[in-house]
Amino acid sequence: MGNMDQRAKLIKILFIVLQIGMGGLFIIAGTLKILDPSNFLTAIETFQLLPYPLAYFIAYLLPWMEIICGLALIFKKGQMSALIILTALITVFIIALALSWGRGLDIVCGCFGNPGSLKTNYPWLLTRNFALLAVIILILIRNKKLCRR
Amino acid sequence: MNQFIKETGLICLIALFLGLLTWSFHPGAPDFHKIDLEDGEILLKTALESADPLLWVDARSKDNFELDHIPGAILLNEDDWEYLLAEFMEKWGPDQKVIVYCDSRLCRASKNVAQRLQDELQLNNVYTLHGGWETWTSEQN
Repeated sequence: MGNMDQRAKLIKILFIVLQIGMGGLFIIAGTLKILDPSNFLTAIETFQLLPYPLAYFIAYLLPWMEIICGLALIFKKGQMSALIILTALITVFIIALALSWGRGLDIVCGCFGNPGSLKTNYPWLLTRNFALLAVIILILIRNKKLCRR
Repeated sequence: MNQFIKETGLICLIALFLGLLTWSFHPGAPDFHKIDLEDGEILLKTALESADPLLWVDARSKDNFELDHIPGAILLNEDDWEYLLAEFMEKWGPDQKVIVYCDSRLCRASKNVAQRLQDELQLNNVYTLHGGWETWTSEQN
């Protein structure tokens, strides 16, 4: 019984760390984007998926969505909504990455500010985002279970 | 469910409000459709009016280059860098202004090639064409 309690405690701590870590990551990502909206707008445009007015609108909206969702995860307020929004955002981003790779575009991720003029490393970008998605979904499932209890 | 919809709506509303504030007050906020030249970029008009002799460098793929290119341009892309660089060196002169272009405003190939020319050959007079091939073709039409 003691071992079970300890294991449950460890898992709880692990999920708290994961949730705060994810929150922090999205706050940093959003802040770097909002510091240089011009650069982020160019990054969105390199995907060549959205008309310019929509790309322009998203360049201002998306970073704040990330920051607010990150804060929601850290302060545990509206975290289920934040997790679902982040799941949707990352899924859309993964699809956009895959489409751009398929079209042979040289895109700029724009995820954490300006990366300079490096060649797009699609396998790395996709792996990183699939890993992020997996962690977010794990936290989402865990929180959903806790809510049901 | 109701709570979830309320929270999601609230997150979107706050983000929208803060986005609006950023758009209004951020000093680096881009103007709608304003031409923002990046470092080392040159407008086609400026390039054509330049007094220096120009050396156009096409950083697109070989297939696209063979399909069509700016008259007098030479091919230099990262796919076949060593081989094409030798060809570039044959054509290049120290008095020339080198202008690298790729497909459009959004491609990175011209910037990568320009950067390598600056880093590896220590060339100073290297620019990238704003809008790239897309701008060239639209100006010709």
